[in-house]
Amino acid sequence: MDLLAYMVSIGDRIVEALIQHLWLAGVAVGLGTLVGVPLGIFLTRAERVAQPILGFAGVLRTIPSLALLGFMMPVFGIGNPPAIAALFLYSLLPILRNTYTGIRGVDPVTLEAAKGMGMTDRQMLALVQLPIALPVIMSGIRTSTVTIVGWATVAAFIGGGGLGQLIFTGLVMNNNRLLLAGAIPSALLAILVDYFLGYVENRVTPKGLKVQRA
Amino acid sequence: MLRLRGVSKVYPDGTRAVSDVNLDVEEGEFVVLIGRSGCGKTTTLKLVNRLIEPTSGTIYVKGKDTRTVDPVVLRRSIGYVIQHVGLFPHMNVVDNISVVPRLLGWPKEKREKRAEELLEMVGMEPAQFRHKYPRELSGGQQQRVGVLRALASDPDLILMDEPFGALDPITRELLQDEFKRLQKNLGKTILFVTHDIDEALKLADRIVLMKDGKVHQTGTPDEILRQPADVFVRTFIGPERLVRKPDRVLVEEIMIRTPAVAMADDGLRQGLEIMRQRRTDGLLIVDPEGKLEGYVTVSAVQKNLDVASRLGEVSKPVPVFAIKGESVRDAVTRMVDHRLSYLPVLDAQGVLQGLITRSSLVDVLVEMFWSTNNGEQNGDQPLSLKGGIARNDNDKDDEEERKGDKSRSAGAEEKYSPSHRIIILDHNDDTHSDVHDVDDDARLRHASGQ
Ligand SMILES: Nc1ncnc2c1ncn2[C@@H]1O[C@H](COP(=O)(O)OP(=O)(O)OP(=O)(O)O)[C@@H](O)[C@H]1O
Ligand SMILES: [Mg+2]
Repeated sequence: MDLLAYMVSIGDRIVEALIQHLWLAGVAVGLGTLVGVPLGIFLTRAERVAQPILGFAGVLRTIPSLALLGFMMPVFGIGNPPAIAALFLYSLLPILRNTYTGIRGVDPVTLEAAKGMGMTDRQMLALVQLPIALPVIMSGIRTSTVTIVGWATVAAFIGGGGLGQLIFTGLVMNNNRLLLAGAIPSALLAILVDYFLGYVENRVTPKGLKVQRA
Repeated sequence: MLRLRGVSKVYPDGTRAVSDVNLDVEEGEFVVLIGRSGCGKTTTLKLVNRLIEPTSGTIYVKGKDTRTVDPVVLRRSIGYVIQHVGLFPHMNVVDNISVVPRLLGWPKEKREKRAEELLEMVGMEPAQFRHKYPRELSGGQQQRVGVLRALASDPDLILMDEPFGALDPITRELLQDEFKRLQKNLGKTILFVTHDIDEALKLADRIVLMKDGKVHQTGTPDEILRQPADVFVRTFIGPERLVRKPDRVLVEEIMIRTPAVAMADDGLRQGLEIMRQRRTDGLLIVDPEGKLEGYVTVSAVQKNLDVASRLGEVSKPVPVFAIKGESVRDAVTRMVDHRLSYLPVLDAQGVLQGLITRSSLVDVLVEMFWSTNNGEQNGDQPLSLKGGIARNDNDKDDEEERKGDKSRSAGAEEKYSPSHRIIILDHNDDTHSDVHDVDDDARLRHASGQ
């Protein structure tokens, strides 16, 4: 009760941090999508470079988050920009990989039909490959977002905003209530985002891929 | 409509999938490509719509070298049913059917109208099916939609790769019937791939049998059944099909090739001697070119021994005969109509080719019957017709089969040995009562033949 009352009392701060948090994560994943999807599509057409690039993106992801943030600081200074840059790099892999595997996973028979009907490469992509791969791509974006929402808390360590600030401040000041006021919303946020994107994923899945014969 | 000239395809891994294929498909023709798995059927189809580029050779569609046509444009102008249906899983039935019209930029209304029209044509109620997705359809319905998709933009040429492949036999037959009717009505040119010989025989105007990437034999279903080029074709067709279709058996396949003949200038005594040697009660009279002039019976010869000297004086014209290439069924009908027990077989110039007798027919029938009942069980190949064809077939390739089946061929040879066979009896003649001079054996057969 005590905690809840406290959280209500600093509601303004929490909401502000929440919005910042979402913004940070949103920008990072947005950039990740903008780069990851086209790059993923490109990789399906450039098999030679696909494995090296996917491998490299995988390596990026294994770098500890704080270390990656550290690498970003000399380039982007402190505050939100290095945080976004780091989160963007983290978000890239699931999106890239799912786009690649989603498109690669389209049944070759279907593709042959498309080609045999007289579709150009672009038409095949737009009318066949992307619609069929969309659920997989979307699931990559979802995984990415949920992870980034969690990791965005770390941004506070290099002076970025978001719920991490509350946690960080709570830690430094040995204020458990403040720490929880940051941790609980960020956990809830991750769950909500996951749920919401799950819904979106379902919505973008073509009906024909969902139905089964009765 | 479609011409392949010296077309070969070697895949990058060195597989020679198609080699030096020449093929013509006329407008409105239904040509079926058939052959074992891996013989290059699919590759041949894909060469036509340039899903695969030939290693060498040229393909013409409607007189145009396909290399000069933009592949996308080419493909949109050719209907294509791919081997594993390949419907677009994320599109409903109408959208699937409308793909090519959509690519061609037809307005939505026209596309949908066309799709519904096609659905109705194959008995799929549009209201019920238009919004269904491929996964909600049965295999048969999917294959139907796959075929409709190829028909949607009304192309003149359609390539079909085992369109009825993965179906149960009953549904397959239904679709085949449906499709054959459709093709007749729409007058499409079709190149159709299958490895099911029954399907080929049923649908094809012309069958192209492929083996190891080459065209092995081509002909109408009748020609393939009647004159399989060699043992490979025969095995492919299956012996049971070769024997079970009496209307596909030709007179030359069952006729006796060396009937007892004489010339008009031969003497009567000489005629009697030939008859005695050949154990027949009649002779066919031919001129020096082998043209049939008439026939004599043993009784006529005997009666006139004192008054005539040449066989020509006692011979009568042959009222009815068969022409080489005629089916046995037609020949038999004629024999029955004219109540004859024999029928000479002539070629178009009137040259005698052989003779069909009742007993040769009976043998054929008996063996057909025998083979359908026992042949398969024994794992033995049916005797007569196969043997008969082998014996009569002048084709060089046939040697191969004969060597392989020596005992059987020999058996057939004996069965058809003319000396046991020829019993000439004209029903209208008076020979019935006085065949005394023919040996007992022959008379016996004569009696039982009546
Ligand atoms: N892309 C490819 N690369 C290499 N070899 C291939 C390729 N496609 C087919 N082949 C080979 O070429 C040969 C002919 O193949 P094709 O698909 O034309 O056979 P098919 O007659 O259609 O057989 P099926 O009845 O099994 O469909 C086969 O030996 C096959 O393995
Ligand atoms: Mg094939």
